[in-house]
Amino acid sequence: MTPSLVFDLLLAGALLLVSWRLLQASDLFQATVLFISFGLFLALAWVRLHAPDIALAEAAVGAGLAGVLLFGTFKRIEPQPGPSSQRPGSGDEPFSASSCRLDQAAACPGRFHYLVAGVGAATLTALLVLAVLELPRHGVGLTGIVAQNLGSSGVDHPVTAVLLNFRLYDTWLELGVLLLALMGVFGVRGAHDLRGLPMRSTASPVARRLVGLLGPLVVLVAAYLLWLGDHAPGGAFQAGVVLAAGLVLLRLTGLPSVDRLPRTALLSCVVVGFAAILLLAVLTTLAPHSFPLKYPSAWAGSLILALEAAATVSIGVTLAALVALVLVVDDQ
Amino acid sequence: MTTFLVYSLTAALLAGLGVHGLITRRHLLRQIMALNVIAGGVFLLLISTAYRNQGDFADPVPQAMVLTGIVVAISSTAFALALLRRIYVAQGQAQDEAQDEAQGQAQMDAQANDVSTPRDESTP
Repeated sequence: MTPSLVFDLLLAGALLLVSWRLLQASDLFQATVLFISFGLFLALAWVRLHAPDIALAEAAVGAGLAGVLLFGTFKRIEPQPGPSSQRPGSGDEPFSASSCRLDQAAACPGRFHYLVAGVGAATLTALLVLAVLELPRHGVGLTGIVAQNLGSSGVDHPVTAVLLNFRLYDTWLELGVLLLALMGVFGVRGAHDLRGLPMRSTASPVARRLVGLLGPLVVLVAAYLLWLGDHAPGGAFQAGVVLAAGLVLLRLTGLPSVDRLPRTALLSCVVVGFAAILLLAVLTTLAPHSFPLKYPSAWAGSLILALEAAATVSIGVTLAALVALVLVVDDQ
Repeated sequence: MTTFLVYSLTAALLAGLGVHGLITRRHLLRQIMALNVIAGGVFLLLISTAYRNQGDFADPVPQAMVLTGIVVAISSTAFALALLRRIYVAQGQAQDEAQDEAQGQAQMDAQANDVSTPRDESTP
């Protein structure tokens, strides 16, 4: 048994244990903390599986942004202690008003429900395990095809080449999903601007000063990651999530962030990534002897960098706006 | 390729755990977490196949799919949480209204009792 196999087994065990605990823990707070550690363990797994690009994004998104979102929501839906609320920690769910879909006692599952769920999930798992065991042990996938065409893609890093050249369509539609999510959250909140959001109470001066120092550093790291995507792990997604994390930090400490942007500036930042690829799609469709979304290979390098810069701004500002909108303090 | 087997089997189990949690846990916040666990399992399966398909580098196509998937997952989580907050506020209002109604009913009952019985001095 080699040391790396021992590490793999330990990591797999930790992932399963943490996910089981986070779904079964009786305390919502505990579940939220376990969820954040689940994201960190996943980031370790990505490094082990030779996917540093994903580890970078996961560490910022799975552990950072998701943690902020869940913690913020958990604190908001925590019922105020009143005469009718139970003592926390009694029963399966800690808070009477938040048990069973927030408060419907009639919707609580019975024993039969658990049995059916257990059998269904076990069957699904067994089928998945069988499918995994049937996979050939040595496949080639699309690695060879990517390696052959890497020279004409305009970049030297295969993941960036796939994201921004071979499968640009995916990236484009993904930016569209971000846009839709932001529109949906704006609709649910009934807001149409971030400037009207109530301000959080200002954090301590030490935290403000520290985050103020971190601000320029975050922009520097994002720009470096963006430039690095050309030839090493990095690129628009990682730079975008780092930018989003920085903007969320600024917002949480009460420093100027996305909520100070005028409406037009905010919307332009949000749509610039989608619009840039749309423009490229229109131009390449109209141009003679060209397929939609296919670059002229002489310009590929600079085009990819421009598209990545636009996508970084879009991803960063949209994610930060989503977090700001979800975590806003209600007046009620 | 034991590494591939270890991680892809873990991925299958994670997806199963997530589905089980999604069905049995009725709290909306936990269901959102369960969805994220399922997503983690799917991503892990994709990346372990990318690790298996190794040439000069791990297969970049599943990696690119997972990168887009992570950003889509966080944006859908944010949307789900916004809906949860909305449901919570709406239910709180419904509860308040129900309480007001119940209190109003109790007051009317008390008034009706006042007509027939003398007022108890201990109640204000």
